[in-house]
Amino acid sequence: MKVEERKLKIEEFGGFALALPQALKEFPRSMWHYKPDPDYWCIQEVIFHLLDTELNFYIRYRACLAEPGKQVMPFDQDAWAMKLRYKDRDVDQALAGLAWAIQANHDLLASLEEEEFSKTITHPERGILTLERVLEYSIDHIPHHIGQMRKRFNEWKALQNNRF
Amino acid sequence: METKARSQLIMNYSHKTYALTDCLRKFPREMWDFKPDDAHWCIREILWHILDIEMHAYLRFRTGVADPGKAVSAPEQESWARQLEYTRQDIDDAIEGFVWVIKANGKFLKTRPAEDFTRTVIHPEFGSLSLDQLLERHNRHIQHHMDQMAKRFNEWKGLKN
Repeated sequence: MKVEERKLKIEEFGGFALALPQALKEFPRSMWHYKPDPDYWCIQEVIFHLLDTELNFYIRYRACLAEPGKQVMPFDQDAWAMKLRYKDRDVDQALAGLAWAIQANHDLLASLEEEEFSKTITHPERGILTLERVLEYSIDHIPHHIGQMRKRFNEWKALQNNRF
Repeated sequence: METKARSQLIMNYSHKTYALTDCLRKFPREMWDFKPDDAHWCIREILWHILDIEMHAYLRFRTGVADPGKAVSAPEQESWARQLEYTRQDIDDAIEGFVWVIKANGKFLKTRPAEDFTRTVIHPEFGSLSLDQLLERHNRHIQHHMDQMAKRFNEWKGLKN
């Protein structure tokens, strides 16, 4: 990735600290627990997934810089959503933590020198990953889940429109 | 661990947010970068260390519940302090971060049933640790560093006098 492109991507990523709460305003809280089927996540579960993933990235970025080559621990996202009872937890606390984590990760990434993006971590399933690769994955992750939340909202809205 | 003792421990852990911020009020900001020599941490470095360890705690507690028996990571603390340049990081960001994460961990633990506290994770240095043991360790860890900050303050005060 070129330096300028990376800078833009890091800024785009930092923008999610504001863009995410803005996107959530489109979806009434009354439907944050809605899911069309038990196999799907509701909006509240997606928010907790984003938080837990961002905090995993918090550790991974820093492990990569401070202990290059280190093995990081993946997490089973469906087991976390179910066993940690994402649906029943304090969503406002999660949103505050998510905004803090995005900002902290952005500030770290924005402060790095070019050569640091080629440092690596070892992921047990994905093998050796450069910091740049981890960054690419994390940048795509939030917009992907904003899209998922919008889909959930549209499914809920369609149901409301079909009611008499 | 008895339920009552565990509840008390969770309360002590959660209250570390207040204990830490109260403790910091006793030390003037002008000495938060003071260290007697390069082998010791200043208060700024200690605060970032507490934050990063509590972020690990966040993942450890949750791994223990969602994925028991699994390995968790532990940072090489000197390397993190040096490579992540704790001495140059914003103190208020660290305070905001550890207040959030300790509260989130405390609230999470408070809602878990007793059987969850016997679930374990594998620590790279200490081996198998139950959630009860993790809770005790993290509680002690914060207290240890509060004492270390008080020591740093007394060293600085001693020099001033």
